[in-house]
Amino acid sequence: MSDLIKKFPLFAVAAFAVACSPSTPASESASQEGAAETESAAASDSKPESGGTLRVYSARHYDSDRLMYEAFEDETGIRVLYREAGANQLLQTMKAEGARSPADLIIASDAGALWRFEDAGLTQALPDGEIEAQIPPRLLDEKRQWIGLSQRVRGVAYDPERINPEQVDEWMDLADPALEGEICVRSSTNVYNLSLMGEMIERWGADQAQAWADGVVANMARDPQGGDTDQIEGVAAGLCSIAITNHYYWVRMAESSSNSASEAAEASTLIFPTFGPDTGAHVNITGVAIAAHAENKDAAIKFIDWLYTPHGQALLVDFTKEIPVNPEAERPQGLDRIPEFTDSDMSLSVFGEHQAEAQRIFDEAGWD
Amino acid sequence: MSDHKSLRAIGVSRVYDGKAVVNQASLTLEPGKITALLGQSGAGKSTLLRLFAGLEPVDAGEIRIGDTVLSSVSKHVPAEERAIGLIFQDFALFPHLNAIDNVGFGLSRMQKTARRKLAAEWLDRLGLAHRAKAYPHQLSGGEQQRVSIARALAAQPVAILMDEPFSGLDVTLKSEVREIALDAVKEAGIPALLVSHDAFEAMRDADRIAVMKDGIILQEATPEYLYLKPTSLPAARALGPLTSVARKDMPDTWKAQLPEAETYCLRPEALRLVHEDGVAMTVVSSKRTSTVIELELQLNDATTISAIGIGANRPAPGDTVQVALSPEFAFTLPADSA
Amino acid sequence: MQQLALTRHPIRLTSIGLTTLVAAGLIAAPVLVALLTGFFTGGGETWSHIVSTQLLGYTWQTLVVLFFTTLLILLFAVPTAWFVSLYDFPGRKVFEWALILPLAAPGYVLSYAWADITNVAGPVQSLLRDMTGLSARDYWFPSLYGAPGLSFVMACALFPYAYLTARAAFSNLSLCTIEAARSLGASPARIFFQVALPAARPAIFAGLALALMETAADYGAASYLGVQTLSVGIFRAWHSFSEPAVAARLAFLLILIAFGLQFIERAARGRGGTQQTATRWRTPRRRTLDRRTGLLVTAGCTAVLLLAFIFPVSRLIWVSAETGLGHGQILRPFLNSLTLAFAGSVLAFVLALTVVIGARQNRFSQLIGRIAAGAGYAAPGIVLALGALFILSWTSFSVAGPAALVFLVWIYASRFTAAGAEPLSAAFSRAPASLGNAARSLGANRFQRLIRVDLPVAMSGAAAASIILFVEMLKELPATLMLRPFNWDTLAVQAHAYAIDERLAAATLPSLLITAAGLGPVILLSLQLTKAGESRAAG
Repeated sequence: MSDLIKKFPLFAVAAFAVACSPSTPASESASQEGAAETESAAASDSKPESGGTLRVYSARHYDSDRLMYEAFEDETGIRVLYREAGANQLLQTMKAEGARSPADLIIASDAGALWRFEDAGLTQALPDGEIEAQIPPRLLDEKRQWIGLSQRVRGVAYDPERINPEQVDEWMDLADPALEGEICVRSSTNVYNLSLMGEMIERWGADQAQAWADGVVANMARDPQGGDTDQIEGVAAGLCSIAITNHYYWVRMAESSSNSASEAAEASTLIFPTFGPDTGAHVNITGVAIAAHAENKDAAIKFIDWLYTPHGQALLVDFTKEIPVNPEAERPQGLDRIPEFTDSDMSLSVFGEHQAEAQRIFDEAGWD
Repeated sequence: MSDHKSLRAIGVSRVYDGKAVVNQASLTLEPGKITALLGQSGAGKSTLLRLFAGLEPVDAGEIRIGDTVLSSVSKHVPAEERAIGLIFQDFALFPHLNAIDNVGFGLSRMQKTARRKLAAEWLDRLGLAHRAKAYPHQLSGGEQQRVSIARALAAQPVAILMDEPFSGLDVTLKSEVREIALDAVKEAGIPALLVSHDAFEAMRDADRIAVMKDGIILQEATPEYLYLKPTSLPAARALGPLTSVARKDMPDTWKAQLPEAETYCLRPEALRLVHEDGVAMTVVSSKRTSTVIELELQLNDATTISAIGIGANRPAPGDTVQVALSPEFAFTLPADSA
Repeated sequence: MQQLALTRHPIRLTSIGLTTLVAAGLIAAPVLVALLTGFFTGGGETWSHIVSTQLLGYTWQTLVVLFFTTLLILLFAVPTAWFVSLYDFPGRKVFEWALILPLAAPGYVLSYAWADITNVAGPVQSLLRDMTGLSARDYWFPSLYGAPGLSFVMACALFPYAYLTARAAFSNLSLCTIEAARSLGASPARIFFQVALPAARPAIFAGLALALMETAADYGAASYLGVQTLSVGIFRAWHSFSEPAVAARLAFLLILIAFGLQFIERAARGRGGTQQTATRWRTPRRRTLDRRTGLLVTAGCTAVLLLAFIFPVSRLIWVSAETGLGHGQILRPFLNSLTLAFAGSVLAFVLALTVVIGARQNRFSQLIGRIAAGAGYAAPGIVLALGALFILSWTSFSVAGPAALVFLVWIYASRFTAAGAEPLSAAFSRAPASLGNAARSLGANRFQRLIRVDLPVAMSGAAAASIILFVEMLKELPATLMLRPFNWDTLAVQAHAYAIDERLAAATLPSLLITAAGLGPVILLSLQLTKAGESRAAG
């Protein structure tokens, strides 16, 4: 097939897309204008030299990220083009795009998600450099395929009037029959639960992990439903005494402008259970990886470095309420509400590697 | 307007699921004449009409206009290229167009003003000038049918085919519409086909009648000829009631009036009441229709026959009446036709 | 050519038949590709895992949801349609069109709103606890999370389909039928159950089947409410297990269910057929209900409208107002939604027209057209998107590029052609075949007949078809989620992304905008149908 024939429909399509694109108001940022350019760039078989451009595939969906990209543009002059979608969609997309993928950088929340990109061969090793010096070593994948930018901790919000902290300071406690009818938790299909289970499998072995899942299912106050926020609300409303939640949902509720939400968070206490003596909390990450076929690797590395600067960190977590990994970075408002916790020494790759097994265990336990 | 050609079906057949709905039918529609296609429902009348119109292809035979073949097994001029007008029982007016635009529909090649003028003329001819702007749902049934006739004729068709055009109308409308419509059709001087199941209508309205049964055209002739000289019993029955009487049952005076035959078919008009010199018979039953008295008479112990009478006094059952034979209303049929 | 020679009219098959064949191919290709790939690719361990632990559950949940949805839709749609069509009561004129409004709000949007209203910390339960002094453990409160809750939400979102068809059927009841029944001493209840309902049954089932197929294909509401239906399972097989082939196999089950629904619907039409007099029909004269009954009916219609539309939409407006607008982009997704829905409706409309016209020409075209459109409609958006992804991966097109946009338009069309073909074909069938023949006898060729007769005659149906197509595409979530080019967030995708990220406040604005965008066309449709009904009554 000649190139012309191959390209023709694409050009027609590109013309259609341009014709259909709403005219971009001049006040809108370069990152949007660039979008059309990426599309036409994708339409040609050979990628043009992109110079000071960085193409980001992001699984985050925060309006504030736009401000972050713009700030990087202002400081470095590197233009950021970004596309947001669910991690799995990004993954399937990159698989299909193969070597022609325009992606330079992948941002995803959850180590399990990043591991999947690595597993599919869509990432490349980060170069040796100063990055390691700035961050705890655990945040860097063993094969240097991805690296954590910020931390998210899975914990428990409990009703202090009904529950003692000792009853929930270890994850295993939640399977205690004494807590029957006390636990609110979301569906097992959620990646937060899958990653949590992944760590349990690694630490305890599949049998004990299964026992834990069985025990929690027996202690549920209701069938799993809603998100983490809904579980905290369940505690506040008195339906249950224990809600399993990521820390930032609790923080966001506490900081919310809606009175009912902030009251709900304040009615509960957040705690980060451990996996037993001498272990830490379940600490997950939002991280970044360089795409296997990145054209703009230098810009990508520059962006990663920038994200570790106090300014970059602040913009990254300001709205999400995640924990910045650079100790010099300004912590987002409301983060001082969360308790101290022991950092984890668990390899982050584990979350992804055990994902399928984790789902099987949940299914086996009847955890919807 | 004198170069109109005849529309002919020559041995055409149409087969559905292995059954010949139209079976080797031959029929010629002469210009300026209305030919009625008479038969019961399911006889294949409408199918033959559709073959003429080109709405369906033929499985055998030919349809021709003049010498031009319209349909054959190997050739099929589509309906839209035949210029054959159609009139339907349900009028088939375009609901989204008003009367004048319906009439103008077939004139799309003309200039707009010329088209409207011609359409208006046709509406006027059919007595509908005042309804030009009305939409089909605002028109009465009779008006709708007249619009549909105007629509067909305005397009200057080479022939016109009417499928039970008046049966959707109630009786009072029927005669009004019928006359205006058929006059217009005749005036056009083109071949016209009138599909009907009503012998009364066919005989009154048509110049020629073709009787159809089970896909076969039994006979085609003028109404008079068909009524008095049918060649088969079904054809004879299609045109009106009759009684068949064996020669041996006939009174001798009547035998003398008739040619030698085994059996005779008698139309009711064949026997009339007379004051004297008739054959005396007993009345079995009698009833008055608007114009005549219909009688059932005892011919002999086993047979009754129909007769008609005219007059002020209706004989009562049991009365004896004098009956005479009008032999022109009696006919014989070939032995194999029953 | 072998088969063509066997049929009687090779000429017609090659022209119309070929067009229909191409249209049918376009419609059916994504489903076929998805299914075939599913069957010819090994599912491996994941497949056996799903079969042994999940399959029964997925299927059961789907059937339970369909069952409850059926009950609720009948409850919402049939009585309201009956009273609105044949009686006069306070507010009747408003209900006549307002009961169609819920079509504008997608099921997933209603699920966000209703979940927020009814959850344990929501306004209803809080009020209950404040008033009674009970704690959350002391009483039972129905939860929206689960099959019955999902059914409720889907019934709220989709009952207007059945309401519309039922209303049309009741209005078309011939005056004679009802007056004859009345003269025979039948009570209003008996007229309803023994005359009207049997006559309207096929129409009601047609609307119901449409709504149920949408319900079976729903992903947004089911996943939000955590109901493990087959649609959710398909997504999960693809996402959690990264097994598109397994997803495709699950899809086959879903399609079977949808075809089952269609089969039941056809069977329900029965041989009796609908009462149709080709030329003219009159709507029975409305009877005014007595005061007490009238108020009761008004209350019932109000309740349906409150539950299906006013309560949830008001709640979203409230939440949105309470938290203020975010600094998110909203204009682009809004325009993207409109553009995609518009392009999709145009293509789907052309396909629907081709299929419907093909069906009028010959049996063969009718059959393939119907099967293709049915398969597309029966397949949930996820399956079609999966098929498109498979196709994309064979080609050199980028999923991220504008090719995906074209694929998405194609998927929309494939998915919704049946929804457009239905009203189109109904409008066509109202025009007697003699119209076409009359036009032919007047020298109009096939194309001219289409432009000058068929389309104008079918105009009302065509308008309804395009509006339904547009609104459905505006609401489409799963296929858009999987196939949209990256800078083409639509309102639906945005609402979903915020909602699953537990930011309901941020999800309210796109949710309300989808509803608002759909509201205009729906009101248009509503007025058009209501007006058509009235002019019919007058003629």
